[in-house]
Amino acid sequence: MKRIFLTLAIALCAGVHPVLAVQETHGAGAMTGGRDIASRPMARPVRHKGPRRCRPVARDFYWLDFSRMGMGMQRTPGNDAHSTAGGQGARLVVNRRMRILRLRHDGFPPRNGGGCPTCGARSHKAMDKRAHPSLERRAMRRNRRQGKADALLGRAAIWLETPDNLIHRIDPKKPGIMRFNARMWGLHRIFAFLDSETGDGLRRRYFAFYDMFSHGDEVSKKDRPMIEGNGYWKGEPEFFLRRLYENDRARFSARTGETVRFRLTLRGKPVKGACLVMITQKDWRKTAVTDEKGEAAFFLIKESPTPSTWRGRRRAEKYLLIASHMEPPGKAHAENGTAVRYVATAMLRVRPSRREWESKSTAFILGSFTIVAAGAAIAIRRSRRRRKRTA
Amino acid sequence: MNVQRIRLVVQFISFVVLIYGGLFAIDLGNRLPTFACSYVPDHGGGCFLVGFQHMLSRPLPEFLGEQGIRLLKALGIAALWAIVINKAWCGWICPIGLLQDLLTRLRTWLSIDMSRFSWVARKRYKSVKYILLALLVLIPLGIGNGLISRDWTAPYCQLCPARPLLPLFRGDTTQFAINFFSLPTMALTGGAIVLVGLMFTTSFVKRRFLCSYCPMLAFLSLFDKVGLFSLKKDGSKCTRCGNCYRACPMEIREIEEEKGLKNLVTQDCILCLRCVEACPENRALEAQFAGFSFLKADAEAFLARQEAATGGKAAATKRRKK
Repeated sequence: MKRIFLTLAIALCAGVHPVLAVQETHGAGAMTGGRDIASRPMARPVRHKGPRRCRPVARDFYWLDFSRMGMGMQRTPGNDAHSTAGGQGARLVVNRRMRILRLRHDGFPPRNGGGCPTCGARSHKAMDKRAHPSLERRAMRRNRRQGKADALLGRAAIWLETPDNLIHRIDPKKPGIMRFNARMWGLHRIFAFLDSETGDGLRRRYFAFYDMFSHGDEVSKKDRPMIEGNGYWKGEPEFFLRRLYENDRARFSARTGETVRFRLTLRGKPVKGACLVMITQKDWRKTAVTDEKGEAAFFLIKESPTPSTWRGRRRAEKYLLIASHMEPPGKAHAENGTAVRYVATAMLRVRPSRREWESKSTAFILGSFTIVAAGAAIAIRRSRRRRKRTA
Repeated sequence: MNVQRIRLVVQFISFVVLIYGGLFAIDLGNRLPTFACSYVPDHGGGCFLVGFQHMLSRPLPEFLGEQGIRLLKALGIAALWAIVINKAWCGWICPIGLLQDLLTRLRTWLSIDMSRFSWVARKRYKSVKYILLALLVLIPLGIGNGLISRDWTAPYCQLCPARPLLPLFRGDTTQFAINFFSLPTMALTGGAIVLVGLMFTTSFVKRRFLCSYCPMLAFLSLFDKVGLFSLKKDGSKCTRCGNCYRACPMEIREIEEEKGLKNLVTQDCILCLRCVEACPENRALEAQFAGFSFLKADAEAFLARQEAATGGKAAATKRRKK
């Protein structure tokens, strides 16, 4: 009897206490998928050391960063401030469907968000740089790369694929920054393409993807034009890292505890044995190798233990998926004896599942306790009254 | 005519419409002044407080433009409903009211004694719902203008017992949980669970316990004077027998005491019409809609009901008294 009671108490505590509940999920290991690579303890971030055939991340990549959604802010000198967020001279743009995305080349995790990969501090401003020489070196490397990157950003071709399968070309006003109206209901796919030839005998073709769901009010017409051109191959990107959804009504946002599946295709054909690397905002990494269908899956869990302060548990985090593939000379774009390196990135915004910030068992216990306590209080009061009356 | 039986049927129908209406393509909109919880999946109608709170959590200058018009429109629709049906929303339609009434019936069936607040306590607790109504306006305004943390967003929905309770009838347990995101959310969602527990327990002791503190009742009471429903009392015919007070689930004493009061739809009245049914004097109490009387106190009907309830004893006593 005592043992049963103890087991029940432990089980309840695990269910009740969200920290314990989250730790439980962490125990299963970090994001696993495709051909699974051994899980590691989640105590501190460690760089991935996968099998030899799955080479680590391509160092040079471009990725699409989600900048803002909802109402867009427009700076117009002379206008009064109409929002707490806008500040002086800013006003709210009436169009609520505006989305702003940024094509970035400054590495991942992003600099302003996610905190320090070494100590986990929220802001880089808050920490002492001398204590983190690795960060300084990283920043220097990043800046060195920046020189050639900026010139390329201006040449990026960006497309928006709307739910009706129409493909629109977006011309960014500033290099790498795109604004567009997502007026239609459904999945919008944003796709950026860059082609670089560095002259070192290797041609690089960069692809960046971002899937976004919009609650627009326009209905899709479902007709797809066939586009062949720069970055496209028969209506789809040449090197395509596509997230697979179970069905049309599936939730597009990713949540912890879910499995996300990706398919990698090159000119419409699945790429077998390619290495997919997922990097979280705190620099956790996990790799998977694509199968015959070019598919690989990742199981998402929260990247860090639940903070004891309870805060920040519901916020979305950015996860980046990088796929690279080398094509030997003599193929489609690999002319003049140069090899082509294809690099594709897909950005995911991962939200913690309800289980991480809500507890049903606590609610059940609190509710039961209230009923019992209130019932007992009423019963005691009534019995006292009765006693008084009889006295 | 047994009004209470009709009321129960109407309550059941409105419960089905509000909770399961979406399954039958019924949509009464999201501006209803009753606890038709919008968190219920496929609901047939939603409480206006959800949208109202979100609309209010905007910077003040925005109310001078489109946002202000939206807010006025939402308030206008809710006010229109409040004028047309008035407190009958609470007595005849509210799903939480039905649950409380059913628990009260269970209490009667189990022969558990009822308790009453003292007159002084009653007066003290009366103001709670108005304070809640004021907070309902002030907190979202504070959020919109950066004075209060966003964790307090939709405070009333987080605290409302209908949110964890009503989705359970659709098999959805997601709302019956405590949100550990921050201290305010923990306090508010925990408060909602405590209120559910209190509602369950106190229904075995008091009738319509939660209604006494409900800000929706406070909102509806703003339209008492212009509401189309009214309860008239003829003081000359009242004998102050106290039947109406005893029958009233909200324990409104004015029905019995006030002889000069013409409209009895007071702050706490939920228009359940039990007082009219319980009145043994002809035409002493009268329920009207837009000036047309639809229910009057009737001595014979009263006696018949009493006879049915007590097996003829009541009628014999009345006859003896005469």
